[in-house]
Amino acid sequence: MNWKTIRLELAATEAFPKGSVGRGFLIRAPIDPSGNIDEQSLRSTPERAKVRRIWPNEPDESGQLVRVNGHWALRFRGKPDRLIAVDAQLQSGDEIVLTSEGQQSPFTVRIFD
Amino acid sequence: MSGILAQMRGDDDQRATGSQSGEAHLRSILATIPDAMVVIDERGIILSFSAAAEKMFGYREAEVLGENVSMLMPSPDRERHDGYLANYRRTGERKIIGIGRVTNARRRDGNTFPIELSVGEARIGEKRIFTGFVHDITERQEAEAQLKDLQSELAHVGRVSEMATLASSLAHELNQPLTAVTTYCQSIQRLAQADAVSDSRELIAEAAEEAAKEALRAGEIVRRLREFFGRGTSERQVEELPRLIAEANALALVGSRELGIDVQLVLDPEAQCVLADRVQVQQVLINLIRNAMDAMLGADERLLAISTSLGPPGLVTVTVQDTGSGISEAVADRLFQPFVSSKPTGMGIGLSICRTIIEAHGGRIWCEPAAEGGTIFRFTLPRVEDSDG
Repeated sequence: MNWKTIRLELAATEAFPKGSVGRGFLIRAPIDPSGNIDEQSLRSTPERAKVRRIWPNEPDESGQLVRVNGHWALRFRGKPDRLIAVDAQLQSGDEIVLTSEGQQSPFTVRIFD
Repeated sequence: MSGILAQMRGDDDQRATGSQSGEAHLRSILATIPDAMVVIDERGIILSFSAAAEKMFGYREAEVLGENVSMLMPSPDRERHDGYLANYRRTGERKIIGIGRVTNARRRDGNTFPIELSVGEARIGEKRIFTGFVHDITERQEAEAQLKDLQSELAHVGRVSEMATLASSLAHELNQPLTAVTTYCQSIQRLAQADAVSDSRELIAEAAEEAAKEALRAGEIVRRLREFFGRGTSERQVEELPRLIAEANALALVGSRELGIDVQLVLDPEAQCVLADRVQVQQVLINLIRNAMDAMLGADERLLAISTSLGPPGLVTVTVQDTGSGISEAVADRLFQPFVSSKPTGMGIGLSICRTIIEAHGGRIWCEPAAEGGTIFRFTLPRVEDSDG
């Protein structure tokens, strides 16, 4: 399975009307050609599925991509999971929503080899 | 580019009209400059992003205008950059403007790469802007780094052969007093066994005194030798550890684009200053980072984590951890000895140099297997309490 880097960049919100490419997450995950995260591959080496949060004026935070109740989620130690609300195939340019404690934030997907 | 041009024009329409030809000229220069050029305002907000910068970082200018320039930097510079700017506004002390430095940048895909950054400052009316020229030194650094490696290896081979010469002359020098001690002791033994010990008492005392003198002489030779080795040429001064590490990391990151190594720097703000010979400690770091990169060549996940922490008391600990193949037990115990290598092409002197350097600084270097696979190297350096934070 091909491991790739998924970059999530903050999409347009009230605070950032044109979005913000400097705010987001870098995720390493096994992705099949149609854009699905391959659960089986990930299970064999879950420690590879690292997530990094990148935000201005804040140090990098490292976490893991995990499977929670049938959803993918970004897990950082000591923080509530951020659920990836849409479980569809991921393609560059797509918009997805992260949900954490009821709060939703839109992100644009970029995929890099 | 429109952002910076608008900024440069300010609100003065008349001047704007007059500068139209200049603007076209500027545009043509900016479009052809081979180095990436990023212009920011006093708060670090991106005003202009050249075509070469778009290519280098993977963002279009329209996407990054209005963003904080720190988005192009990996941690810890990213979270500190606003502080650097504030510090410059407050003190006027130039740490990079007009000086330039080697550091790291981060592409949109998350990969970091070594750069040479030159920054210029300009005043436009009341406003101040900074122009950064970013030169990717991934390739150029390679040749320089190889040369440096070679030099350090040669220097070490030189030291080893010098030590061999020293050792033989030391053996010769020590042999004389030790032979004398043996002879005197044998005499004492013989005299003690004689029938009329009382007659020999004076001779025994004399021989014992001579033996003691010779033993002291041997001790003196050892002391002189220690002095000789202690009188190093090392130049230790107060150094900022984060900067020292960032620079060494940039120097070591040669070819990392191809290797796809993810570098993570986690630096404890408390572990700020150390007493060190910067070049020597960077040599240690470059060695450890290169080793880590080599060890990760065949690995699926290539994460290099460099971190600092306070302690043990009076010291700072630097950790370099990889997700590579790990070190075989056969080699692990002797890893820091000269001519022991786990690499087919290694001369096995890199880590022994590292140990020599770190121990000369009053620190310690060791390694341990990482729980999740890979290897962790740690070394300590004497900490200097911050004078001004």
